[in-house]
Amino acid sequence: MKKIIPLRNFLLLLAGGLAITHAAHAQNDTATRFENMSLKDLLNVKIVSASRKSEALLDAPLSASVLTRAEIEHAGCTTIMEALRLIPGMIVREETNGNYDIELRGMDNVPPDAVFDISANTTTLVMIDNRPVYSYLRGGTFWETLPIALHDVERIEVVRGPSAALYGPNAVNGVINIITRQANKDGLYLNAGMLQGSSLTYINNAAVGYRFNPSWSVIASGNYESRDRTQQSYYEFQRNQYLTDPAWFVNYTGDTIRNVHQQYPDQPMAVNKYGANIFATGELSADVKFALSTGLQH
Amino acid sequence: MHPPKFVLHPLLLLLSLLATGISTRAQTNPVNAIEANIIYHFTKYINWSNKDQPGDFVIGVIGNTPTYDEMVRLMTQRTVGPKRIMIKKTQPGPAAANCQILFIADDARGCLREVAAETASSPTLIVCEGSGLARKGAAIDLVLSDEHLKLEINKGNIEHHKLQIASELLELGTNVN
Repeated sequence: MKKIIPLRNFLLLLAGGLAITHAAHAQNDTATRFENMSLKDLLNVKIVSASRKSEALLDAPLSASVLTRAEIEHAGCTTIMEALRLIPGMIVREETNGNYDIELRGMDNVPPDAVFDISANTTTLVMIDNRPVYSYLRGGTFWETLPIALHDVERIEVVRGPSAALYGPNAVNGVINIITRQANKDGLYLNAGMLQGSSLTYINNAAVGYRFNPSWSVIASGNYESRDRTQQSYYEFQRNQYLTDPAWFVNYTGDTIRNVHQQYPDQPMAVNKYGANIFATGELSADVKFALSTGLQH
Repeated sequence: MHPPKFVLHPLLLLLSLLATGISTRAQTNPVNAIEANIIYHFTKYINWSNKDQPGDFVIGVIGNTPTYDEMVRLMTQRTVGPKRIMIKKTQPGPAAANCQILFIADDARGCLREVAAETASSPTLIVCEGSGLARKGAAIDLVLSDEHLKLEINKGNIEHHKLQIASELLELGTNVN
């Protein structure tokens, strides 16, 4: 004869199990469980919870890095592109003087000898203050056209790995998010910097702003950068030659078509740009906030 | 008809495992209990200018949070000096200014600025939970970051409320302005 557990016993067991669970729940969560701990020990208790997390990028389930303002200053970088070299997994190539191709983990979609408009990486999303910046023509990022300068940067967050599900277009290989500086005290905010160096390098920055209260602030910043090429010769693809002062562009049939001096009057220069930006943040209520970032570059 | 034994036993095993699972999950989320203990510790590190006045030591809670229940469980029988600790739920308004500690839960963070203005002239320690609130009027902010609770302390806000903070507490948190 088979022995079968009666339904009544089964229900008793179930009730007992749930009661034990409830007791464990109550005992484990009560504040008295931690009452003998010091404040320092309480702050060291590991908490596994998905709610109310602060925005710690490193908690994301992807490989990520954050480059802080202090790290940038200590490294002595002069441009955002140079600063990106400090981040693991980033490959920063200065293709020609002042012209960069930046990729993540070696995944790039720029073909060799590509013409200008497709020589920008379109598989890495670049953002300034969480807003994408890229060429509307082809979708790639021309780093030399960013309106902000390193002086405006508070930190750079990089996510390595496919992130399109989170960030949308371009985030195939990862995301580079440049977060700009904000005034951290009420009142007037002034910041200026001037650098001079070899290759006739001049980098000037200034920012002025005002923080009305912790929720409302506005900053206007401007930057100017000028530097000469570190090498004076040019590689002329059609002639397969390095030329120090090419007077002419050559088309595919070998005929001269354009005067280089007319098209590029400042040939020795690698960079000559200036930009202006306005950043504003405001909080109308706990649920309504706005952030404005706008910039122009020439 | 009774279910056969080979069905019933695995079912019981599954229920036991489920019960263990629920128990373990409860054990790994003690944030409210820790918050209550941390707030209790604040009473040892802060000096209230009205500590010699008669009455209870009132800790007010604005918003709905399990931390309130944990605070009641932990502190109902305790005292701060000669004063008995009293935990009570409160709302923004004049009553908030009578609290020695005012804990604003995450769901009520929108009233922080209003509460900070109402308690500006009273020795009230405003404690919040959620990132960045120490810059918006709170004295101490409990921030969950990297799987630990961390303190963001605004010394200026504390002194503005005529409170004194011990340097030991300042060292355990991040000072923000």
